[in-house]
Order: sequence, then structure tokens, then C-alpha cells
Amino acid sequence: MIALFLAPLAWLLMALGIVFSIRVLTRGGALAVVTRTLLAEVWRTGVLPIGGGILFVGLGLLPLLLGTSTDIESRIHTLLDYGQGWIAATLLLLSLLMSCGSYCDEVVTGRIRWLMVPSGTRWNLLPGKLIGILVALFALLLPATLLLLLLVGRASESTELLWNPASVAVVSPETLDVSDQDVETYLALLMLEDPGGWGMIEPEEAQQMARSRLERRSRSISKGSSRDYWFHYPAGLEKGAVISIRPSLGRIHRSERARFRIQLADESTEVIVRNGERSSIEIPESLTGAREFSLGMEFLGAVEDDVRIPSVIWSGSDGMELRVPAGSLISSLASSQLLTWIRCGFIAALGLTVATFLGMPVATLFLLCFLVAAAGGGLTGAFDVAGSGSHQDPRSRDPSRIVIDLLARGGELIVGQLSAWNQHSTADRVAAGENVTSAEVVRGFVMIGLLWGGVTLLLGLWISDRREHGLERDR
Amino acid sequence: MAPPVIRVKGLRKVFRDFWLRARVEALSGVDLTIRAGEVYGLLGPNGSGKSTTIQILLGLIFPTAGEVEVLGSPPGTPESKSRIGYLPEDSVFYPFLSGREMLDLSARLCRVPDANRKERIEQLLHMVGLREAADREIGDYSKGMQRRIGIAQALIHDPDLIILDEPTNGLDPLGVRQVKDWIEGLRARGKTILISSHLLADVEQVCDRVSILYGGKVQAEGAVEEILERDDRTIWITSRADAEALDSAKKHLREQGLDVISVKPGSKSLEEKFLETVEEARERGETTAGAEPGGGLPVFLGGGQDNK
Repeated sequence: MIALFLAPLAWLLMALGIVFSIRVLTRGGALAVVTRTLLAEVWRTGVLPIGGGILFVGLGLLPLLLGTSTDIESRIHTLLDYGQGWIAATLLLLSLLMSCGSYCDEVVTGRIRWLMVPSGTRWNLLPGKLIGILVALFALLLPATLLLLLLVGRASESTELLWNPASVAVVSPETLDVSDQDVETYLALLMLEDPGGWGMIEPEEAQQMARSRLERRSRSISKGSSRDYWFHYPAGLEKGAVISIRPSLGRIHRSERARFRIQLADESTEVIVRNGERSSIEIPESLTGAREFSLGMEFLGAVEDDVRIPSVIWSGSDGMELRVPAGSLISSLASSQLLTWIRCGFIAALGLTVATFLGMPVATLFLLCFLVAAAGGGLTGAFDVAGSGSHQDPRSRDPSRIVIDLLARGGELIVGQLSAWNQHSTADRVAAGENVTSAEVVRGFVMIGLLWGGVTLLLGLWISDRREHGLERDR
Repeated sequence: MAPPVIRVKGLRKVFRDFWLRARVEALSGVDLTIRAGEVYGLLGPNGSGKSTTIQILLGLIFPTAGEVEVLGSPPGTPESKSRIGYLPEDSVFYPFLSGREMLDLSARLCRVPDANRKERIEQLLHMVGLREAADREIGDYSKGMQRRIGIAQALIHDPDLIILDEPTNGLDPLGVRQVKDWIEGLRARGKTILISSHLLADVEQVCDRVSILYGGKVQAEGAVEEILERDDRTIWITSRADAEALDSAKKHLREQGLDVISVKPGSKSLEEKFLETVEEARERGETTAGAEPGGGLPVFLGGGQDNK
């Protein structure tokens, strides 16, 4: 219940932030006054007071809604997962409302005609509104994050978790990645071995088949054999680093256990792992500070004599990874929330741009469709790359097919780019205890904020400058 | 002769639909020349092309054909825009801003220097009689008060060309008289004013020249006295005459071959009575939630301000 009482405090903090910003912006030029007007608009018309109320009450109710798990780690994971999701969803909706609503209101009321007359409006209206939205979102995000941290602190029954280096940096072994050069070399060897077989296959198909084989090999160890996995960590290993593995022993051995002999530095140990369950192998102190090292793994087979497991596979990107203590939960959450803020800023820029040529309901619908596309829904699987086993379509050389392929590749490129600002990727990592670095925030700011957001805003400015702001409503 | 501030030649505007099909020809060959220091009236019924002409002069919509020059530049350029003050037809200002904030917004958008921004705002608030209501939200203002704040924002950057779309719309007779006084004062200080209005009596009193638009064309244009002159009537106004004097005058006029069409006893106009009544109430110390009497033109516009 205490959590619910913290919500009004968070709301007050947001209110203070907004009122302070409005007061500070009484100085400055055209850009500052447009920003101030937007803040006054979203504050005095109730968008922020009500939106903030919903955000903070929702956060305050989370511990009650999610129940009380006895496992502290599970409680924290759930709180972080749902808390960040709730914050991101609310901020996204508010940035949509503020951006589309604010600009569309100027058009619907006819105010845009008056606004476009002073010489200071031309290049300042859209950027000023965007800055205002960013300030408003930050005023919501900061107290919301503080409230979430308080909830996590209460759930962990100790604040040590927040400050201690509880986050980890995750590194995959280099050996699991198959480079283009590896494929080329492997394919050349196969061609030498079997020129009649491999030489007859279409080059593209042969490459896909070779890559598939290599990936299978790099991710599996057959019984009785061993494999070395190389890890590269430029910052140097710290005490407490572990190798985390989640072996796949095959469907029929779901409940069985398997034995491995592990070689790390000079130490050799034997470990028992369960099918599909995560196990940790501590890194010996002698490797502290090392920037790269190899992990030798020998698969000794099943623990039980009557079970035969032919091989182990490291499936998925997290089948095997190095986890090094790095950063604290607070720094990781702050980075993730900053990325959420940048993403919302991009949505606001897009909203403002779309509102320069579409009306309020259509503009919002357009953006919602965009968000769905960005989240991958509806487009997942639409651009499947033909597998090695697939047959060539005889129509593939048709001009129409080439055009369709080009469009599909363009779509794939866009969807691939959009996934860069998928909120779940960082929020899930924070909830899983992984570190989100400040370098990622900088990269997100440059790519999503400056590049994507900047181009979108420039497009909006160009449209706004080129379109008629006159009598379209009357005609 | 003063140089032209607005020069329009062969102006055409065709509005098109989404598929670029012509929907309506709002202007078809308009010619206008407005000189510096003139008060010019743009008249015409609804849909005659007044607003379209103003939007083109402001650079808000683009002409289909014709030449347009505003303050020596094409319309919509930063150079011309920075010297134009505009009062839109509807009160479209942000309802959540106070009157003072609204003027501050306008001043900063028009790049009024920080040093004299506050002073100008206070002078204009005094001019339009909204000092007491300056911190109230515009949404709470009456229509007349919104019109007054609109006039103030149009003057904040001391523009050379002032475009007023229905300036007296929603104003009480006192406000209308004040607007006319301000227009007179601005004209005396060399400002060029373009007025679009349906209230012909107001236009007639303040404008030097007018043009009447209909069907997207200028149907009549010229100095107010010239286009209103009737060569078959003469109006005399004399001091109060008794019946004997009237009969004698009529007899004399008939002897001169003139027809006496109408003789009326003198009376106050309703406007005069209204202004007298309000003035008396003010002198008795009655208060109002609306606008105050207001003052003269501010000092930065070349006025003496305190002539309430």
C-alpha cells in the first residue's frame, strides 16, 4: 500500500518539473516560446496531469497487481519487466497524443494561419514543439523511474541491490559466430573434396548450405569429443565473472542430465548440467584481468548409463555466454530509460511530421500502424530468406518478380532498422540483470535521435514550408 | 506619390481537390496597388475573394498566376513577413494562455528584442484596456476582449503594413470608436493599413481608398469620396429651425429649382447615446469585468499613450 502513496509524490515531482520549465522558458527567442507554449498547453489542458496520474498510479499499483512472490529475484524481475513496459507504453501514447494533437489543433482551429505569419515561426514551430514534448516526457520519465526504483528497492528488502554491481555484461563466444570468410574457406575445401557434387550447385545455394553446416558444427559437440570456445572481453575480466550455459540435449532427453569436462586456464573440472536449464561455471581467479581466454569443453555423455545422448547443441543466442559483473542496476535502468525517452522523441518527431499533412484521427492511425510494423507484428516472416533446401522459383528472372523482390528487400531493411528501437530489447535485459551501457545510449541517440528523428523532422519542416496554410478548411 | 507597399497584377487563384481537379476559381485577375501611408478597404460579400487575397499577401497560400509584391518582396519571404502585422478574422489565439503571455508569444515570434519587449507589452495592454485582465486566460475573455488582444499582438513589432481582417468584429461601439482612433493615429504615423470588413460604415469612416470585390474580380475601386459621390443630391445640416424658418427655406430652394426630398429634426445617433451612457457610468465609479476604456497609441508606435 505504501507504493500507492508514493504515486502522488511522483506526480508532484512531475508538476514541479513542468512548472519550473514553463517559468525558465519565459526568456529566450522564438524556439523557447514555442516550447513554452507547448508545455503550457499540455499542462493546462490536462494532458500531462491526467497522463501522469495514470502513469504513476499504474506504477504504484504494480506490486499489488503482481502479487508477492517469495523469491526476491523473481519479484524484482517481474517489477522491472512490467514497470518498464508500463512506463514505455504510457510515454509512447502520450508522445503520440501530444505531437499529433498539438499540431492538428493548430490546423483545425485555423491558428496555423496566424502562426505562420511571424518570421520566427517558420523554422521554430516543429522543433520547438518537439523540444517541448521531450521536456514533458522527461518530466514524466524521471519521477516514474525513481518510483520504479523505490518499488524495486522495497521488493529486494535491501537497497544494496540497487547500488552494488548487480548487472552483468554479456559476451557470446566468438567461435559461435560464422563469418563470411569462414564460409568461403569452408566452401573452397568442400569444392576441392567433392567437385562433382558441390561444384554443380548454384553458388548462392552452395554458400547457404555451407553456412548452415558450419553453424551446426560450431554449435554442437558430439559425445566424447571436445571443442574450444574463444571469448574476447576488451575491458578485462573481473572477479565474479561466470560462463553461463544452457545446453540442448535433444527432445527425447528432456529430463536427463549430462556431464562435461571443463578446461579453464590450468584448471579442469567436471560439471553436470540438465537439459535446457541454465548452469553457471565460475571463472578461476587466475583469469582475472584477462582480455581473452578459451574455454575447453568435452562432452562426456549422459550421467545415467542407460541413456545415450549423441551430441549437445548450444541453441539460441544465449546458449553459451560469458557474464561479467558490470554496472549497477541503477545505471542499467537509467540507460534503458534514456533509450526509451529517445525512442519516444522519435515517435513525437514522426507524429509532428505526419500531422503536417494528415488530420488527427488519420495521423494517429498512421503512427499506430507504424508502431505495429516496428514491433514486428504482421511483418514477421514476411521476408524469409530462402533456405538451402528450397527450390528456385522459375519465375525469379521475371521483371515483375525482380521488382517484388526489391520491394521486399527494402521492407526487410526498414523493418531491420526499426527493430533497433524496440523497447523490449533493453527493458528485458535490465529485468534479466544485464547491463545496458552508456555507449548504447550514445549510439541510440545518434541513430534514433539524431539520424532518424532529424531526417523525419526535416521532412516535416519541408512539408510545412511547402504546403498552403490558407483556406483548405473553408473550401 | 508614395511608393506602393502592395502591388498585385493579374492575380488568379484556383483551388484544387486532392486529385488536382479545379474546384473553384477564387480570384480571376485581381489588380491592386496600395501605397505607403494609405488606409485601404477591401470589401465584398462572402466568397468574393477578400480572404484569399489576404492569405496570398501573407504568403499562406500560393497564387496560381499573376504578380504579387509586398513591401518590395514576394509574399511569404522573411523580409516581408517581419514588417507585417496581422489580425486574423477569427480569434484563434491559445485559450490557455493569459493575455500577457499571448503578447509575449507574439513578440518573441516577431523577434522583438528582449530589452523593450516587456515595456511594449505593458503599453499595448494599456492601449487596449486589458491591464486588469492581462493575467486571465484568453479562453475566459469575451469576444470583444479577444479582439482587443488580437489588435495588440498585430502591433507588437511596430510593423509597416498592418492587415486587419474584420477588426471591429465583436467590439462594442466604444471599442469600435477606439479602433478607428488607433487607425487614424497609425495612418498619421505613416503606417499602411489594409482592412477587410463587412461593416461598411466603419470602412467608410477610416479608409482613404476601397475596392469592392465580387466573383473574384475588382468591380469598383477608388477614393471613398469619389466612389460614394452622388451628383443628384446635396445634404445640408443646419442648426435647429422652427416651422416658419423651414417653410421659408423650402420656398427659397424651390425658387432656385431644387427639389427638397427630406427634412428631419436633428437627433442623436444610438452610438452617441451609448457612448454618453457608458461614460456617465464610469464617472460614477461603476466597475466592469470586461475591458477598461483603454488608452491612445503606445509610445513605441509614435503615440502619446495616456489619452483615455
